[in-house]
Formats: sequence, structure tokens, C-alpha cells
Amino acid sequence: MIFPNYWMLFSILFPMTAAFILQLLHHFAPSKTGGWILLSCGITSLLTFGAAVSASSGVRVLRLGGWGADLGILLVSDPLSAVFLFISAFGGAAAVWATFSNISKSGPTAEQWRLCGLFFILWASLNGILTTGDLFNLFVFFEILAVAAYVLTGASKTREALEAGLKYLVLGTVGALLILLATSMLYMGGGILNFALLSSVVGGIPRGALAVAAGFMIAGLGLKMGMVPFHFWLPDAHSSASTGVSMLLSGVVVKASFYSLLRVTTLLFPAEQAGFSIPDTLLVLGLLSLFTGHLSAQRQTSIKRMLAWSTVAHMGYLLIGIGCASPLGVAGALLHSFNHAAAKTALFLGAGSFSTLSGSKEWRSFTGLGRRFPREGAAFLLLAASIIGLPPLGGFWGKWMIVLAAMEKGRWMTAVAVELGTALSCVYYVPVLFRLFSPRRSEETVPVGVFHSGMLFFALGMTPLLLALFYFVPSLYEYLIAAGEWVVSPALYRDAVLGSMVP
Amino acid sequence: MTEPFFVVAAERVLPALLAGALVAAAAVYGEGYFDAVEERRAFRALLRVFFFSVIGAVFSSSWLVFFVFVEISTVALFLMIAIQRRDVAEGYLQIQLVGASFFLAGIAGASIMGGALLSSPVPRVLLPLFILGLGVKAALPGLHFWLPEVHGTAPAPVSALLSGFAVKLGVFGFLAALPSEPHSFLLAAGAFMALWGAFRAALQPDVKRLLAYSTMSQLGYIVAAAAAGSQVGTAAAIFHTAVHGLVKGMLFFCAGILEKTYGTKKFSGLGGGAAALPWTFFLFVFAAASLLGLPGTPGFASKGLIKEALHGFSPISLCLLAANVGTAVSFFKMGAFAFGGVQKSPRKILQGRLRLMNGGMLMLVVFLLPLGLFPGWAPSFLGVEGIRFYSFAKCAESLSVALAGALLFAAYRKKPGFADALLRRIDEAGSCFSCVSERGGAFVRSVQSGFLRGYLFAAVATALLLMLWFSR
Amino acid sequence: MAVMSFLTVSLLFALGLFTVLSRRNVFKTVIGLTLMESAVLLLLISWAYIPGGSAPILPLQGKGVDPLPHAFTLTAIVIGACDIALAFAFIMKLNRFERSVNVDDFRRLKG
Repeated sequence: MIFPNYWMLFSILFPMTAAFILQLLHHFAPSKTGGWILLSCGITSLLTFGAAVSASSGVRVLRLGGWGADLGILLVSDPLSAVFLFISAFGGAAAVWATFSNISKSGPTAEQWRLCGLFFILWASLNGILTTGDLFNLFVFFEILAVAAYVLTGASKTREALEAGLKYLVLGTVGALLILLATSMLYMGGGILNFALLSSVVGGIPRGALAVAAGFMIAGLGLKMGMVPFHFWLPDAHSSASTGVSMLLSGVVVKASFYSLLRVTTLLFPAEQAGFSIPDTLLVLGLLSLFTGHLSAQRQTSIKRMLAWSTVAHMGYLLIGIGCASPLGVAGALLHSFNHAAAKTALFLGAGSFSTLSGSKEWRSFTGLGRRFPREGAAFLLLAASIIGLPPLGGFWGKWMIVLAAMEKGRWMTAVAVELGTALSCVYYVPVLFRLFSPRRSEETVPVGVFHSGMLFFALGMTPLLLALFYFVPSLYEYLIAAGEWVVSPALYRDAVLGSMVP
Repeated sequence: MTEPFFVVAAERVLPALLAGALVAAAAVYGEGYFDAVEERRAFRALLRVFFFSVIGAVFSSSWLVFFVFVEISTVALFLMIAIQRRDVAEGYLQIQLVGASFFLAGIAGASIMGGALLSSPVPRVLLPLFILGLGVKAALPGLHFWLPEVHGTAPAPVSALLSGFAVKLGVFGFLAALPSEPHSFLLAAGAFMALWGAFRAALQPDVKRLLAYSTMSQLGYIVAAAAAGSQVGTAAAIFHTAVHGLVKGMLFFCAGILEKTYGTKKFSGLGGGAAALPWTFFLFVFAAASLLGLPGTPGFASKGLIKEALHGFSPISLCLLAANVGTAVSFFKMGAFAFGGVQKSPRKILQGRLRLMNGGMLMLVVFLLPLGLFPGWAPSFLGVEGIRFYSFAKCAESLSVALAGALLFAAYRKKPGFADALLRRIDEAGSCFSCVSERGGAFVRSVQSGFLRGYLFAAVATALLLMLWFSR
Repeated sequence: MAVMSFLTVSLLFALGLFTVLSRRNVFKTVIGLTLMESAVLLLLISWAYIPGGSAPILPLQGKGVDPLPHAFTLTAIVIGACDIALAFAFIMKLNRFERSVNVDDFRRLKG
């Protein structure tokens, strides 16, 4: 691959500059802005996809400014980040497309042009989080992401959106604060902020300091990720935001926070040196998230709030996956994050479009819409079935690997709980599906307008079927296990990064 | 992952034939049963999905493949029940998925410990998970609470498929998972199921619920035979599965015809069917005789084989004998109330529809007749030779059981619903899943109070707790 | 010396936490967040101090204190300022709807 190390740099730089240029462009050529937005979206997606492909074949290290690991900032991507870069490439593209694809000839609406820059800033910071090799850099990119996310959440300026944005802001700032505190403690103990170097000196940090840093880091990253009991902002923010923003937040942003949790805890707080076991704690928090999410999603009248609670539950699955502390568990978590990202992004798109058609966010108003739009209805059905975890669709295989990993460690109750989530999620998804395909002609909703981004939704709806073939692609399975190996043994990462420092 | 998915063996072909027979008969029957065109169309489509999924399940080589196909069949059945009763369907899906959770955990353990193929028994330590998981499907006592409700209120052809085949998938799982030695828990469970099901059946006021409890009772026979651990036991279980599936299918079809004719399932509304539905009555008599195990019927052969298998376990055999009496009581009750007695006002069903429904029943008879006339064929196909089915003692036993049942029924016929409320509460003690999830959901939603300071407190408190937890 | 700075930092953080948790005015919540953030940054800065050190600006006079925390703190201050400004924007817009700055009144989203 040409310039394998530089794709990740441009996947951050390009959207960042595009954000500002697009905002300026609106002043000079409003009618062309729509096309340029979509073009930038395509290029960013391509750059991120290229970064993912180059990372999937090995560790890529880029020394910004030529400074070494002890002085400068490194961009590092390895097979683990490749999975999340794929998610960023496709999820980000889907979200931007859903928001900006219906720009009329006269140019974007006021709403759209105000937000286009923010979408790209969010995307850039997302790629930054996924490719950074430095704690300081991680914090900065997290904050850029957060600010963009806060504004995008409150962008529709309804009462709910503003309240949700404020709560997200306050809780997110507390999270940033805790990350800052943890970073300070790690710096005070280790003297360095680079991941690879820090992970090699972490053995020398006194255990008490390490414990404090670990506690605060997990709390801070948990606040960004939506781990229970740090999840309170998530249902509000993801349900009050507009469709494209929800797609990004639920599908991609929480996964990036999960990625950084994975990186930081395994590199900087490995069990042998720290003396405490983070995976066990994450397992318990994951189980808590699973049950909280699934139980709260029942009896929700707003479809988006239901989907947001479902996100909380699925983050629980990911935490249980890494809580099993084995390559198989991590591989299951990675597969599940990919499945969930694809399905949740699409589900939010579908929910948004059905809401626009029926005029209300309540799913009870979707009567018969699945029959009016059979293609989109079928796609919604497949996506919901995949998220519920019905075999042989894609969503089942991630859970299967997590159940395998749990039984490998002898934790049969965790294994039962993971699949119990399937039963619990049936309780709330099935009535929605019945309502969509309801044959009661007299109560049918008359749709207003056409299905927004129908083709995109249909395409995304086919991903569960594609992922159903996962069982037949052993190379994908091996790749995920290999990525899991990267996580479980931090020495691999350390050696690869520091080894490439030798000029 | 490169092993073959499917395996063809003698003990799998017979269930596959059963599935084929039931699906074909249900297809014919469904054309006559469902009122609306969309219902018929949906039923036909779902039947195809169901058929392919159970064939896949029956011939699967590994537990994971079996699980995937069983789940697909569950979804197909769920959608079929939902054609008429959505609430019952949702409950069915949830309970089956709860059972699937335990089952999947067991399968994962087996994959890790090396018992991933169906052909080898499962590591002993994992057996409880398998029994819990498959037990929900096979309606073991304690896990059976969903069966009367679901089988009793689903549309008749779907009940036939449920009782005739779907619950048997749980038994196939037992047959594959159990080691080849007697399993005392399952033997006891089977005996209990047989007794409880038979006597509860006799007390039901509703024809389909009676049949549902009867299914539980016959499942008890099958589970006890499977738990005997010998090859005779396995053959007996599969043989009785086939016979019971066909017979119960006929009986549910019959109940459906009664429901359509009289507009109700309750015995208080039925009567005089012998005159109004002569063909149906004739087929009912055949099916009921077979279930009772009268000599010459396929039921006699299969129950005889079960008795052979349980030869060394006399308490279990005695329980099954007592259960047989209860079965006799219930079917005399069904015959007397539904087909005998005063003629209640029948509705006029279109002659064509009635013919289709009777035709469905007849198709099953075609499969049953050879099993009854040549009782040795099925066991020898399954590898068990040299059973003497017809002896004076055995014939006398089955006839006297039937007679005892008839006398009991005649004595107690005035009291149809004995202690029904208390027994129902005992039965439904296990159905706490939905109420637990409701209460849990209400509690968790109340925590999300909208109170920002509360959220902040929770977050900071947990951060401090985590820090303290890590530094201990 | 280090003990003094740790004590100050802890006191400041505790004050900030108390403000956030016990005051109902949302402006005070935001001020409390700023206090907490300042406490953490103060911790970082005070760690960077080397006795007898001078400002880490070239050309160095004698020993310079550790510059990295200073850089980190400057960045964090900017980020903090951005967050606060955004918070105020949200509060002002919310005030138009709710006519209140009481945090407990912002409870439309629950359950």
C-alpha cells in the first residue's frame, strides 16, 4: 500500500480543514456547497477506509514532526484500531449522507450549513481518537469530539434537545475532568505521556497512584461511553438529537470511547503490574449496563429513546466481552461493535425517516408503514432481528463469541445473561415490528412525503445478511482473534511502536 | 467450522418423516381453517420456513447448527401463532429465548470442552445447563407453565405443529446430550410429567387445553424413555415421538374443526358432534384409541416399546400406567362432551372447508396406519429387534386401563373443573419472567429521574468507589 | 511543600464538587465544574515545579521547570473555557423556554 503511515494523518487533517472551508464556501457559492459537502464526505470516508486497510496488516506508526516517542506525538494504528476505523468510515459516511443528501438546488438550508462544519470536526476528532498514540492527544481529541457532539445534540434547539445537550455537557465535562485527573496522576507517576513508553514504565508507578488513576480513568471514559452508572446522559442526548447526529453518536462515537477504554486499560493498567483486575470490574459494569439498558427500553413510547437505551445495553455486551480477558472475548466484542454500529446507525436512520413520515416520534404512530414501504420495512425487520440477536443473522455471532469466551473462563451465569439479553430485547422490539407491519387498514397512518434516504437504508439493512455469512469466512474470525491478541498482550504494541522508533 | 453441517442417520430420518407428514397435513388443513386470505398466505409461507428449519435441526451435526435451526423454527412458530394471537405469541417467543439462553451457554461450554458434535454426549458438568435449556422446550415440570396457555390458544394447525413437533426438538436434544446410562432426575421428571399432565388434562374445561396437558403427559413418557439411557429407550422415545406427533396433530385438527363448528373451545358449548361431523368423529375415535394404546393401534406398539425400555424401573412404569388411566379419562371426556350428548347449535361451515380439514386429518391417518399394522418396522429401523408386541398380558393390560378410565369418567362426569384455580396457580408459578422484567424495568426507569444533580452524584460516587475498590 | 499543594488541590476540588452537587442554580453548577477543573490543573502545575527552577522559556536561566504540564494546562484551560462558553449558551437558550435557571426544573426528559 502506498504511504501506509500517512492515511491516518490525512484522515484527521482532511475533514478538519474541510470543515472550515465548507463553512466559508457557503458564503461565496451557496448553491455548490451541497455537492462539496458530499464530495468531502466521500473523500474523508475513503481516507479513513485507507487508514483502516493499512492498519489491518500491521502496526503503522507516524512520528509527527519527526519527534521521537519521548518528545513528540505519535499516531499509531494497529489491527485493533483498524476495526474501529472501518466503523468510522462507514458510520460517518452514512450519517453525513443521511443529513446532507437532500440538499436542494438553491443550496443547503440554514440548519444544514450551520452544522456541516461540525460534522466534519466530529469525524476528524473521531479518527484522531482512534489513531493517537499519546494520552495528552487523546484528551484533546476527546474534548474536540465532545464539544462538537454537545453542539450537534442541541442543534435543533427544541426544549428537549437543549436540555439533553446541557446534561450531556455537564456530565461530559465531569468525564473530561476525571480523564484529566487520571492523566495527571499517570504523568506524575511515569513522567511520560506516550502510550508505548508509559506502558513500559507503568511497573514503577506506586500501586496506590495507579489505582487512583485507573479508577478515575475508567470513570471518565465510562462517562464518555455510556457505561452504567455513567449513562444518564445517553438516552436523553441520543433521542433528542436529529437523525444524522443520532446515527453518529450511537453508532460511532460510543465505539470510539470504547476503543480508548480498551487501549488505555490494557496498555496502562495490566493486571500483573497493577495488582488489581480491571477486566473483572468491567465485567460487572457490563452486566449492569446490559440489564439497565434492556429493562429501561421497555415501555418507551419514543422510538429513538428506545434505541438509545438499546445502545446502553449493547455497550454492556462489549464490556462483558473485554471483561472475559481473553483474545476470544475481545474478538467477540470487536465483532459485536461492528455489528451494532452497522445496525444501530441504520435503525436510527429508519426511525428518523419513519418519524418524518408519520409526523411523530412515537412508534405507535407507525401503523402500517412497513407495508407501505416494503423494502424499507423489510430492512428494518432484518436490522431489528440482527440487533435482538436472532441467529443466523449477523448480530448473533458477536454474542456467540462472547458467550464462548465467558464459558471458557467458567462464568456460566455471565454466558446465560448475555443471551438473556436476546429475550429481553424481544420484549420491546417485537411490538414495534408488529405495529410497522400491522394489517389493520383502518388505523393505518397516512405517510407525509417519501422515505428519506431509502436506498441507503435498504443497503444498510442488508448488512445483517452479509454478516450472517461470517460463520463461513474463517479468515475474518482469525483476524479478529489476532486483533484480540494485540489487546491482551500489551507487549506486542509496545515492541512494535518502540521498535519502529529506531531510525 | 469446516466440519459438515449435516449428518444423516436412522434415528434422524424418522423425525424428519414426521415433520414432513405434519407440515403437509397442516398445509391442507390450514387452507380450510383460516378465514382470511392473508392469514392463509402467511401460514403457507411460514410453514415452508418451519419445514426447512426443522429439517435442518433434525439433520444437524453440531450443537451450534442445531441451535441456529431451532431458533429459526421458534421464530417461524412465533409468527404463526401471531396470525391470530399476538400476546400469546410474544410470551411464547420470550420464554423460548430464555430457555435458549441456558441452552446456548451449555453449547458454548460443550464447544470449549470438546463435545461440540451431537453424536457425542455432553460433558457431565454441563448437563444441568442443557437440561434447563432444553427443558423449557420439552416442558419439564417447573418449566412447563407456558405450554397450556400457548398450545391451548394458538390456532389449531399451529398447535398441531407445536405439540406434534416443536416440543419434540427438546427431546431430541436430550437424546443427544445424555450419556448412555439412566438419568434418575429425568426419569423422575418424566414420571411426574406423565401423571400431572394426564390428571390435569382430565380436569380442563376447554378442549384445546385438555390436549395441551395431554401433550405434557405424553412428553413425560418420551422423556422417561429417553432417560433410560439404553438403545431400546432411545428407539422407544423416537417411536413414541412419531406416533404421538401424528396422533396429537389429528386431535388438534379435530379440536379446530369443533371450534369452527360450535364457535367455542369450552366443553360447555360443545355437544352432539357425532351427528353433525361424522367423518371427524370417526377420525377422532381412531386417534383417541391410538393415544390410549388400545391393541392394534400404533400407540399400543409405541407404549409397549416404552414399557420394554423401562423394564428395570418399576416405580416409573407404575406411574406411567396410572397416567394411562388419566389419559383414558380425558379422552373419554373429550369424546363424550364434544361428540356425544345433546346437540348444541352447530354453525354451517362451507362443505369445501370441512372437507379440507378432514382431509388433513386423513393424511395423518395414512402415515399412522402402517405404524400400527407393522409395529416391528419402526423399532427395527432404529436398530432394536425382536420385540414381542402382542401378548395376552399386554393386550389385557391396555384394555383394562381403558376400561378403568371409562369407569372413572362415568363416576365423576358431573364434576368437570375440580380445584382448577389452585392447580392453575401452581402451574403458573414459573411464569415470572414477564413480571420480573416489568418490575425491573419500572425500577430502572425511575432511576432515570431527570434530576441532573442525581446523575452527577451517581457518577462521582461511582468514580470514588472504583478508586477505593482498586486500591484495596 | 508538596503536601501544601495537595491539600489546596483537594480543598478546591471538594469545594467544586460541593457546589456542583448542592447548588440548584445551574450557573453555580458550571462554576463548580470550573473549580474542579482548576483544582486538577493546579495539581498538574504544582507537580511540575522543581525547587529553584525558572520559567521554561528559552534561553533558560538555570534550571527550568518541567514544560510539558504547562503546555497541557494551557490546552486544558482553553478547552475548559470553550466548554463553559457552550454551557452558558445552552443555559441562556433553555432559559428562554423554561424561564428558570434552577437545575431541578430541567426535567422534561426522564424515564
